[in-house]
Amino acid sequence: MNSKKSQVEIGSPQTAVLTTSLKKNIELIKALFKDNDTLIVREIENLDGAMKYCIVYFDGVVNSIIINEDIVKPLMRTDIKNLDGTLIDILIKKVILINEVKKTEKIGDIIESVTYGDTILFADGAAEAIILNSKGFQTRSINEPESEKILSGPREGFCESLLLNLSMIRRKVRSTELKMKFYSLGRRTNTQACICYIDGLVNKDILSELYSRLDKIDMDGVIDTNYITEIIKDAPFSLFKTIGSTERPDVVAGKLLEGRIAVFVDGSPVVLTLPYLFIENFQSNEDYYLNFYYTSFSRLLRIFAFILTVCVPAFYVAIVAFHHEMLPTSLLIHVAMERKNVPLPAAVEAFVMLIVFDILRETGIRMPTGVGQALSIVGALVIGQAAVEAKMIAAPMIIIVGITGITNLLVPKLNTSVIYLRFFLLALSSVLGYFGFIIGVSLILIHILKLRSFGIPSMAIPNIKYQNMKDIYIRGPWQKMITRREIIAQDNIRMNISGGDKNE
Amino acid sequence: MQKETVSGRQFVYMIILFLLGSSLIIGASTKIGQDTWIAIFLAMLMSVPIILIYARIIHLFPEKNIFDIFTEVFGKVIGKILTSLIILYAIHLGALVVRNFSEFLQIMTMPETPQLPLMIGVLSVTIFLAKSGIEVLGRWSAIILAVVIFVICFTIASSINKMDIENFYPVLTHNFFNLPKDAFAIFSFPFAESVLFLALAASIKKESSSYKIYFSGMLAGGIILTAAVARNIALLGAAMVEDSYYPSYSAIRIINIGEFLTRIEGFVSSNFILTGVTKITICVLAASYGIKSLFNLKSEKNIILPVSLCVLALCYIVYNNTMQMLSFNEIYAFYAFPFQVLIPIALWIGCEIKKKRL
Amino acid sequence: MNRKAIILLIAVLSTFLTSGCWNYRGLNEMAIVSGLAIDKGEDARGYKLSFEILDLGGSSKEGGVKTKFVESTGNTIFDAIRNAKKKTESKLYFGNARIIILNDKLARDEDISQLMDVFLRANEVRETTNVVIAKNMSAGKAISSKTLTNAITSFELQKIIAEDNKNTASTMDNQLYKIYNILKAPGESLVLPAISEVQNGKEPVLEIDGLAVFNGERLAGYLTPEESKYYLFAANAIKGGLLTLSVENQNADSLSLEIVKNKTKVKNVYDGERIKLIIQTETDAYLNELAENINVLDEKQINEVCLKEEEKLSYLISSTIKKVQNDYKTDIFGFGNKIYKHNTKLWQQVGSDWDEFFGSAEIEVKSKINILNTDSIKKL
Repeated sequence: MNSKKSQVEIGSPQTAVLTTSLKKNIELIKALFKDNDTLIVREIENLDGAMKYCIVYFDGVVNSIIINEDIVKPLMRTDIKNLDGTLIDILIKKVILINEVKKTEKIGDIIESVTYGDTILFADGAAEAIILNSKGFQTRSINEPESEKILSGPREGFCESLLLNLSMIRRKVRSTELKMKFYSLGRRTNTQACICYIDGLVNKDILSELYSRLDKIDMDGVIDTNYITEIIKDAPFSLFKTIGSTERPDVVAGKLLEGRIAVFVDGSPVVLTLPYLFIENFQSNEDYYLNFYYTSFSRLLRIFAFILTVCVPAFYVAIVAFHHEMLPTSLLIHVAMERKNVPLPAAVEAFVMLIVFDILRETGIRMPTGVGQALSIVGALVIGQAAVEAKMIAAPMIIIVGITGITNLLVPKLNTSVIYLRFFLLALSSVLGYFGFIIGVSLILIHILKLRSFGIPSMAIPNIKYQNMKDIYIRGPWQKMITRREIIAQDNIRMNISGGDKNE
Repeated sequence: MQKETVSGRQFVYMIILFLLGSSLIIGASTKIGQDTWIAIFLAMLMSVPIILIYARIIHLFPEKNIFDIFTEVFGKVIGKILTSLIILYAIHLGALVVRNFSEFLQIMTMPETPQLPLMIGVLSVTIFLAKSGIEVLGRWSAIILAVVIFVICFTIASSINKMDIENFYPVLTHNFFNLPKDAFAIFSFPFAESVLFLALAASIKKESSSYKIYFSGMLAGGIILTAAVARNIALLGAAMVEDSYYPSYSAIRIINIGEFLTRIEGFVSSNFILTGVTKITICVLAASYGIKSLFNLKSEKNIILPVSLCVLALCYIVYNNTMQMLSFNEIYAFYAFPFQVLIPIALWIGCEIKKKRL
Repeated sequence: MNRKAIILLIAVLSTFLTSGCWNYRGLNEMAIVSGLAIDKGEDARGYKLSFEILDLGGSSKEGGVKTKFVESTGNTIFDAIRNAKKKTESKLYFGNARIIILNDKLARDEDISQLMDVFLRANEVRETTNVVIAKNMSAGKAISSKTLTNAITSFELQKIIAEDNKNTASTMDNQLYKIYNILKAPGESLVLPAISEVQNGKEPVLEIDGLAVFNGERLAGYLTPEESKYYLFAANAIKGGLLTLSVENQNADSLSLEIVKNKTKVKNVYDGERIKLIIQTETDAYLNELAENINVLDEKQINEVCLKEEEKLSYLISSTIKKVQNDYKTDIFGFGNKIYKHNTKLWQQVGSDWDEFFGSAEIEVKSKINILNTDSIKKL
């Protein structure tokens, strides 16, 4: 760590310059990457030995075949006789077979590209170097993301390579309007990010807001998109997401077509989409691939599940401990009988059981798959049935925790918020009953209403227009979803209306 | 930061919720039992001219609130005096509403809980809502209004078999003076209380018409209130409506669909709380805007907390018990008259003269 | 800012948490009352209350809930309620009380609105609680006696009363809020269901036994279940029940008509001195039992049945009204209230002493019966 730091200071890329001497250049590079054994420096001469070159690359991130066939071989076999123009230009135009080349005299560029799998070619007598694209690192194969499985629709998912990810988007949106701007992040990691949008649709204010926020980032390393998410979020301490994330190219393409902006970060399969509205927590890409009757229902179900999973324990405690009059008589008798022999008060019981459930869930996620079954037996039998039979926990509580847990699974995007909100409401309703519950719900609602995502209100009710409603709580049929959200998109006609009519 | 604006439609929602505010729980309590709904209509008629005046003032000075208009029309000194009066009225009204709620909650659901935590609870929501700004308040109103209307429709639909049209008879046989008297009480609480919206008028979006906003708000609010009151009468009967503190709550306790859907009053009380929160927030915001212009402050956000604490202190000391609260409700109309009618009329005349001269 | 927020949060939380949970009351900390009975105190002062409370000892899997009885006395009713706490572990909870039984003597001696006041005031007691009068026994005995199907006497009793109107038409259920309204309403008197003990086989059980008639605030007397049916006809409150009749057989009734729907209209004629009440009933019925030789497909014969029944019904209704006029002189039918509601002018003349006018009113009953079907047999 220490040595690396001092090295940057000594051979600072800003101060060092390339010289015409090949030897000096090689020394410079070697000094920059001192103590780095993966750096390969290969010196080449052509057949008559008149021309001296040197290629520099990092082992493991390059494609050796490309280097051998397209760089080393032509360099060795070519005699350059008449120098009409600089040596570098001739090499680029006539000798090297690589598709993407760039000449540079900046050490900074060289460092950035050589660490990214490019090969640097120095030639004796030239104070410039050529950056040759020879990237060839191993990436994970494209497969369906574990966390966003769907029933039908495209199954490919992003992987860790930025360019591969971008290619998936490019394939889906073959338009000149699709813009992809690179942006470098991280003082030390020099991570490549890409901001992607469709020019005719994107809201320019949001785009410039995004740039200004990205400019403010001064971090030394960006490993995953979440690093920047937390920095550029509107309400950094909010429990709710104001920037979307997905691992699916089809989702990103869909969001781009809604006028949203996508941010890719190299090394992470998670792509950010913004602005992010609250309702997107309940949307799934599958909503657009399946029949709209079905998906409208499941979207409503998700909203309902969110309400349930947050409210049910608190509501139960409020009723059982404060407002007994709200229970129908027969239910009251049974719940009271169950509760009669249980030691803990209902509120404490709810806390304990929810935490037990969270422990079970958390272990379930982190555990090797084989142990999962054992866990479910322990969870269901020991904690569920046995606890009830031993009269440690009242049976209705198990039902409540069950409902809470299952409904939680329907809204994975809200996982973080749900855990806290549930306890928040539970605490309030254990003290003030239903009244406390309502206070809690109001506070949460106000918070959600207050949220903004890049200046766009996250839960926008104003001007509820018929057109806009078609993709909020339900998913309308495609031929009816004629416009985009006007606050997000610039050009909000999605569909030629006459085309829509034809379909009918 | 750009100025927060609220669309005309959301402003209407705010007015409706404001009108329903505490009158929904007290159920426009009157002495004329089954004729209460007529009193509400009469009160709506009575409030037409005064609401015309409010709307006219906003129309003459768009994008300005009542405090700015005071100074512009009456000059600095008188303007500041009038501003302080309206601020006091807003704070006092907020305190009364908070007290109404804590009394309601204590009597009906939580007899052993002291009122202070209940007040703090209501006010904490209010503070948060007010601090979030009027834009959030507008969106909040849209959601809450949907909930309120749904609940009222639901209670009416589910109790229709228990309703008795006979309860509305005899029509208009009470003492001749009681009807206008009660109508006047309903006029001042809640209809003319909408004077406080003059303080928020600066946030209305430019293109919306103030007349339309005020009238549709009042009409819709009045109709919803009438529906709720009519439901109470049809369910409970005149005697119970007259004598119970909270007829809406009592009425909903009677609803019983099948064996299971009984005892829904708890859900419905949330309705009361939510409308009440909106009303208190509007009072607090109005007072904060007033103080902002009184002392030429930059933003009202920092004053919201102190104003709310004033409301809390005031509502804690304002009555000793529920009986006092109800007897004050009887003289409230006269107490509020200058704020609701005299000052706006004076202001309106001032405005017209001022505009003529320009 | 953040530190301030945290301090504020802690301050608020500690006020809530340290001061305890005011209204927090676990379900295991309360004795659920299913019904209560009020008798006079032993030395004629104060009250003696009996509560039926649910015994939650068993587990819900074992099915039936059992009940226990608690008795207590006190100077006021509320005092007696609180005194019951001396005998039970936890406070009584009235949110699920469905019935209040009053003793006959108590109802005769004390104003009913005063007896009911504490229950209307308390927010725990629901406005829909039923009130009944125990006719030939103490209220305490009534609530502790057995009913046939349900282990909880109060619940069964309440169900019996609530369903009665549709099936047997022998009583009228009145709930707390309705009682309050009727007592306040001009020109109407209260009736409450009456219960008494009868032998069912060998064991004694509770049975609905007509109506208790109130004159103003006090109990005045009773109507038999049969009379109650005709009361329901007159008050336009009947929803079911049977009418029996014989056409040729002189000794016993041999036909049963089941009432499906009934509409009663009351007209009144005032000649300056006396008021004349014209009661018109129109009843739809099914013919359910026919032990005589009548051709149901023959319109003439069916009409004859109708005519006979109409005659009988109108006679019985008017004799019931007359009995009330003579014995109790109180308008339990709400005829006066109808006048008050729809004919204000007339009410101003007769309203001040309506009971007198009612007592001396001339009664005319016109009944009409439509037989809609004869069930599933078309016997010749």
